[in-house]
Amino acid sequence: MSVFKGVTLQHDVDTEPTADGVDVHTIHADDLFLAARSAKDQGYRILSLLSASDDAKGPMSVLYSFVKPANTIAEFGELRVRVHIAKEDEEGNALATHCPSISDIFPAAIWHEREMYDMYGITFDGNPDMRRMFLPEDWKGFPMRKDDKTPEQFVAMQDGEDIVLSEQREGSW
Amino acid sequence: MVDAASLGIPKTFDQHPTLKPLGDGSHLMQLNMGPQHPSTHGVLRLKLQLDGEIVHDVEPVIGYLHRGSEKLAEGMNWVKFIPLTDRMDYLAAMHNNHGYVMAVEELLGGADEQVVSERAEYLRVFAAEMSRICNHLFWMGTFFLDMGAITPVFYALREREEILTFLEELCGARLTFNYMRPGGVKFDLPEDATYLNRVEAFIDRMPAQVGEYQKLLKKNDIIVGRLNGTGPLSREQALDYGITGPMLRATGIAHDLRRVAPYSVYGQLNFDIPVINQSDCYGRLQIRWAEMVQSCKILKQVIAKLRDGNLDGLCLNPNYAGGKILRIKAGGEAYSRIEHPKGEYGVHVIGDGKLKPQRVHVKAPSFANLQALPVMTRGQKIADLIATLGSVDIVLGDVDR
Repeated sequence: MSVFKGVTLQHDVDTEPTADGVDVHTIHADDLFLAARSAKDQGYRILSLLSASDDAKGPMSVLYSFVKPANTIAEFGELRVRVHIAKEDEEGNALATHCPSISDIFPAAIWHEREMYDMYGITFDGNPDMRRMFLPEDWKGFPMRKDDKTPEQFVAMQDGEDIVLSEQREGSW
Repeated sequence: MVDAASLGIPKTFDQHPTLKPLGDGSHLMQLNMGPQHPSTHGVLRLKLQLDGEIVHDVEPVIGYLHRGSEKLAEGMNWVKFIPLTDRMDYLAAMHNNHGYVMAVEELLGGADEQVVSERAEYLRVFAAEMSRICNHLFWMGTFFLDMGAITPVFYALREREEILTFLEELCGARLTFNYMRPGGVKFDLPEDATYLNRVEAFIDRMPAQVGEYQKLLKKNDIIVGRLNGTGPLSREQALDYGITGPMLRATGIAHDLRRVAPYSVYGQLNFDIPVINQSDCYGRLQIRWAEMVQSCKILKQVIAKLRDGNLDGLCLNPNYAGGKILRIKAGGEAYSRIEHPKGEYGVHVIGDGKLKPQRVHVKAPSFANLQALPVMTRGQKIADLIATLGSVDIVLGDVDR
């Protein structure tokens, strides 16, 4: 019996526990929207976590945690979903990283998705406001990606001219 | 790909409606508020669209205090990240410590081994609940300060000072505690034998102090007029925007992780969850007052337990004491959540069995709650925006991380 009641997913679900004992259901990105709708219909109303991570070798992944609003222990429940996002195709060419947005179902996801776009460069298709969250608009690169390079120098503007703030030091990352 | 449009689901909201000309040929006024504005409690910038005094739209612009803590975590040992969590929400730093060390302990221990002794758990709850009172006191003071009332902040800081002194005796710091460790806490209670007595005397007095604030403020005509019905947020909206903490409990749901998903020793303690069915600034104020009293109730029980002396164990697990704490290696993935004074505080950690974490993500309650500010303030007066922003209880260090 699938945990995603009420919807038919197109791809297989892979379930395994995390260290804290809660199962994580790994689904295909195309199924994410249906899974999120199923979660909401089942009462998992609060988007508790939306966190991307980058493994230097494998694909990137996004972990979602949906929580039931509860008055007692018995009412509480948590549903964790993971989606993998490929960084490169089979021949090793870099791909643009895309993920479907769940912001139509969970408006709370808008800012969380913007944060992950800012840090990891994952474009969430369907998010109405896909801009950087924390970093300046003209920032180049996505700093949390494992292949991101620290800039060789940091430049700021003073009296209309660019000045170098600091050179990169040995041993930083 | 399946999306909302293909399923015929209407768009549930319009985050940033475009600047529409008004019917009579005039336009809305764009006004910039912040980032250095006294009522934003830090560096928050709000882009306002105003029709006279009425707020048509608000767009929070954040990131001015972004320090890249999550990136820094990937370059340091597991335990060295604890001081950085202090600097996220610096008004309730104990809770940040607690959330992070709980996540690391999930990776270390597994279900069968008890990583943290019972004594350490009680010390953690002791520190955390003191910190909760502290957070709510400071919130109350600055909240009324935003609205032009000078006196409450003196009352609030008077009591906060005492708590900070107790915490300083416990761990040597007043704001950035760096107190908890994977496997326990850094220090046991102070050697001073009167310490618990002095804390207990304060805890006994604290509910009466809350009564004093209520006597001063609760039925004040100006306060009631300013707060009643200001910043409304329906239960559906609160759930949609992932609101947690006192703001969610003001909508009538007793969702408190200490009760519904007990962690540490909260399952053994007796306390109530304040709930109110009035989701506006006034309701949120009532909730936080009531929570301070409940924290005193918890502290009373914790102090009795600590004084008893029957609690087993050292305050820090010897496997992680001394230099061993720097050599913690952790692998796996975990997400742990605690009830922070501001809402649900979660830490997502991934380790690959090495000395440094592969990923640390902090789900900050201020960040999640701030997102609902436009929903609460559209159609309200600009002065009510200040009160509503205050009632959310944000700390910009927590929003930007």
